[in-house]
Amino acid sequence: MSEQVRVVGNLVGIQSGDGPDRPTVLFWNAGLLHRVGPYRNFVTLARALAADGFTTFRFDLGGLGDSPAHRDARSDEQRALDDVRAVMDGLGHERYILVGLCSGAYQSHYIARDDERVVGCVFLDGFAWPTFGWRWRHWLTYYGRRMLRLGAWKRFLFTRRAAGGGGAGEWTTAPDREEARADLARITGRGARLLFVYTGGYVYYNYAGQFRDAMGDLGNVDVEYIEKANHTVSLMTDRAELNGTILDWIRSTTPSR
Amino acid sequence: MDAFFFGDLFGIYDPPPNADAGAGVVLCPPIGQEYMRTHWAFVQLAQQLGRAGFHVLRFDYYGVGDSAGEAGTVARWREDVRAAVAELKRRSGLKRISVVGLRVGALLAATTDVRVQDLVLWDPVVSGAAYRKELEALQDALVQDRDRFASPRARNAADGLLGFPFPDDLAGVELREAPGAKRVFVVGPQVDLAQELGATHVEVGEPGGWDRVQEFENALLASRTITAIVEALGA
Repeated sequence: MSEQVRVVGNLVGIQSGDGPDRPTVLFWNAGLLHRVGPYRNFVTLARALAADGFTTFRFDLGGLGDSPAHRDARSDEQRALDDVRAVMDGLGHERYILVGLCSGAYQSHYIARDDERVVGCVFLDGFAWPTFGWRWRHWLTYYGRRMLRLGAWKRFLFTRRAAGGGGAGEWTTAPDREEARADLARITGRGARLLFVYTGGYVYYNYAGQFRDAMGDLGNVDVEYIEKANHTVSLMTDRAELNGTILDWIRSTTPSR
Repeated sequence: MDAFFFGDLFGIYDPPPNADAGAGVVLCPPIGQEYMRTHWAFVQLAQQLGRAGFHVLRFDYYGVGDSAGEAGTVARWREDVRAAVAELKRRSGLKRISVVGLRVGALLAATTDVRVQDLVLWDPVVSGAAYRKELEALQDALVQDRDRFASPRARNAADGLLGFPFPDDLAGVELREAPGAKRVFVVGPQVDLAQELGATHVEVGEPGGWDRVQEFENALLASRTITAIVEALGA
């Protein structure tokens, strides 16, 4: 496997593979983790894709992993979006697929909305939108579990307050449903493909049909729900299953030119 | 900062930005999930050592981080430690190289036949077998964790330990004899170990939470420990 360090601007990354006929696949930080991704899974995915003829680049946003911090007045979120675009400019390729987990998926949404070089996105536990189905399942799971614990009844009856995360008030920073639907229609309307993968460990998603209930039927969108897995997909057997889903999807949706 | 591959291994060499102390330090990271959660602390440690005048090499073992391979062994990682010390000598032109090892990185550094100046053993794993048991207990707690999983999971050997395979030959490794370095520091709560090894004990009361399932995915915050290590090496 040929891999090389590339510093784009001042962002540190590793290029794996060199396939000019297929889109370049980008991976960057999930939360505060460095570019290898949780459990090094971005390395695993990048190498599998490189073996299939894709160029891949996994890199650190400024101030994360090995990339130096920017010193300017932009918000963290704006800097992250600017960094991803700078990497696309710096690599100079025509077509990109973005693979992002959590914060990386949120960022991918905005990059894909505004940049026609993005021909595909894999959103891992990315934006999700609440539905009636989510609310009653969440209520049952969250309060139901706590009601079984000693003392929880007393707290529930007399204070109506449970420790953190119980309400739907703490929603993701997702754009509202109408705006998001317009964004996704804009992305898929130009022919880009989107894969949403949600895990059962992600508090904002709790049944297989939630995406379709929230967003309706959008063309060029696939949705997978891996209920048994946790948010970072800690178990190696779950990860093998997740990677099979991601790799099959990327291979089948992006034929060689 | 210079990032590169040397052989199969990914490394980053930082020469000192200002004053040069004429000494080099190789940082040996933990393995598995502990490698993931300590990456940020190692970046901080490298920067502080650089500001104190040291030439610093960070690297990933075979099968870890950005280095080649899927999974490593203790035998292979000891070769990697030797290769990293040689690489820092080559890049810096220095002969005196010290090593800071964290967790299994400390165990590897202390049990690898390599000549070093100072050796810092930061929260060292002292027994591969005991370490395996600790990770098994954490794995049991993880698969039952209802804050992470929608439903509890059964323990399955194919799931690894905290997300990674455990190297077969690590269970037989123990830190028993004093390493051959000129000065040895044990950083962390293991005062008895420091005595056994005839090492200097450095304790700043900043626990790593290695045995807590609530902590195993959280980045290690160790600013006071890092400062203490830089001071120890600079003294």
